[in-house]
Amino acid sequence: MSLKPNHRLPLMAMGMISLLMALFGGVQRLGWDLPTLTMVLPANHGPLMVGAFLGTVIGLERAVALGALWGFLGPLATGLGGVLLITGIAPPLAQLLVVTGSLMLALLFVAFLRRQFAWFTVIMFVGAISWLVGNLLWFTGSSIFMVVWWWIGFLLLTIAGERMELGRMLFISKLRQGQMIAAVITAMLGVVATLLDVDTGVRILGAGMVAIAVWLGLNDIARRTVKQTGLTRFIAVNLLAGYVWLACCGLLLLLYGADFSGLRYDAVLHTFFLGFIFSMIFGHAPVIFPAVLGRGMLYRPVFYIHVVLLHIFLTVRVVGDLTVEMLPRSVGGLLNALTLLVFVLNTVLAIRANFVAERDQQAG
Amino acid sequence: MVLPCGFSPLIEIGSDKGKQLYYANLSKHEGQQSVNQQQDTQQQNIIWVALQSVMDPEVGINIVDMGMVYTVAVANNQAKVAITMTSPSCPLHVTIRKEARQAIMRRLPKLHAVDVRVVWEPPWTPELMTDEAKKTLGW
Repeated sequence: MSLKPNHRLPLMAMGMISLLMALFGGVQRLGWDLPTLTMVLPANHGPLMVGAFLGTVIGLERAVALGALWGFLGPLATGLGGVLLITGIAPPLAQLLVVTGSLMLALLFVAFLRRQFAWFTVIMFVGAISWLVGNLLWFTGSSIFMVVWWWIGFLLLTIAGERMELGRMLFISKLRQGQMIAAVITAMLGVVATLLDVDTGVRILGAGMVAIAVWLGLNDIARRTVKQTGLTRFIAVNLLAGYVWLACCGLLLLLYGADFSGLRYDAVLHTFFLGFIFSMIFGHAPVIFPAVLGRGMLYRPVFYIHVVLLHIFLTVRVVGDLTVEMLPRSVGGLLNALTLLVFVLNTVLAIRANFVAERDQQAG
Repeated sequence: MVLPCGFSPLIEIGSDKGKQLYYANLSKHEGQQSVNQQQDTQQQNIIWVALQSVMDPEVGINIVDMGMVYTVAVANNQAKVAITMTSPSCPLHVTIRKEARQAIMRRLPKLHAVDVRVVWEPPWTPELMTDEAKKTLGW
């Protein structure tokens, strides 16, 4: 028995509030003078984005996929963790809740593997373990710049696994599948190696990222589906753009290695989390939000607005980071945050439009 | 093509393996003693056509051509459909199941019951795709 769609709304709401507060803290970190909502928002920008927002949304998605009530404990934990991260109340409890959420996600993947064994599901399971390990390191006192690579591993493997699953439709040869698995293993070895030597580890991770990005750019089903129209094309456009940002992130890691603070670190994190991950989110939002919330969402060409804005302003920001120019970095970052607000607005309007269309259809 | 039990799919399953899977699931599917076999067969065919309007949004191909529809059975105005998903961890089965049900009800509003189930055995494989689907993907 699953959790009813209406009962999932509070969980999604906690995730979205975490996103909004993370954006607020992120803009403050860029130096913009905003009112102080809570003292911890700037410092908790990363944990809110990854653990509370992405963790809740991904957790919800997988809980819906399994269709069992216990699966929703994960996004409940990360959602509540987000609330504590926003307020700054009981930080260890906030961390423990995010740890719990990641443990539940790993258990969800065990259930999926029992339902049907597949190598792409194993990859996503390893991704969940990476998130769990990163959260445990964070809970036991490691700094964000040490654990973020595990969080990156989580998201990277989640997406790699999904794309490999879809890649089966193209009857990719075993040799080519092996190339992707080798790239994934390289990336994860890099993540693990950060425990021994961060600089070496992130360079290996970077090599894995570039290999994954190139493989996806050449072999992903998006290369075929981009020739279609409507929503299918929209998804493909976002995927292909995201792979470019993934390659950029990998190259930055290969070239510069570990940079614990400063502008290169900013460029690395945001090419990955904004350029790659949010491209995936933008592309799949029209199918995932309806599946999770039980409410339809009409695809609309206006979605391309937030897509284009994302890439333009992220480019401005990253150029500012790499040329040590504070103005483009700050302005690009601020406009990145506004772009995400445009995305949220477009999503809400599309859900509303579908609701009105369905209501009119029933009345007619 | 007439299959055992008188069911006659409009759409030929795309490959020999697909047909084997189809027959295997047919025997597992609950059925009732049919009162009007001709009507049942016609309604089944309509359901197969209706399900062609349900799309996998990621690839832009309908679930029939994707090989995701395993069985369609109709008896005495009650329909039972078994579908699968390409991945066991995909949340879209909720949406696709709902869309499948709505598509059938639009075409056959007089059906007493429409039961669309998601099954995980046998696992979906690309061999189940029809030639039409493969052509769309650039084969």
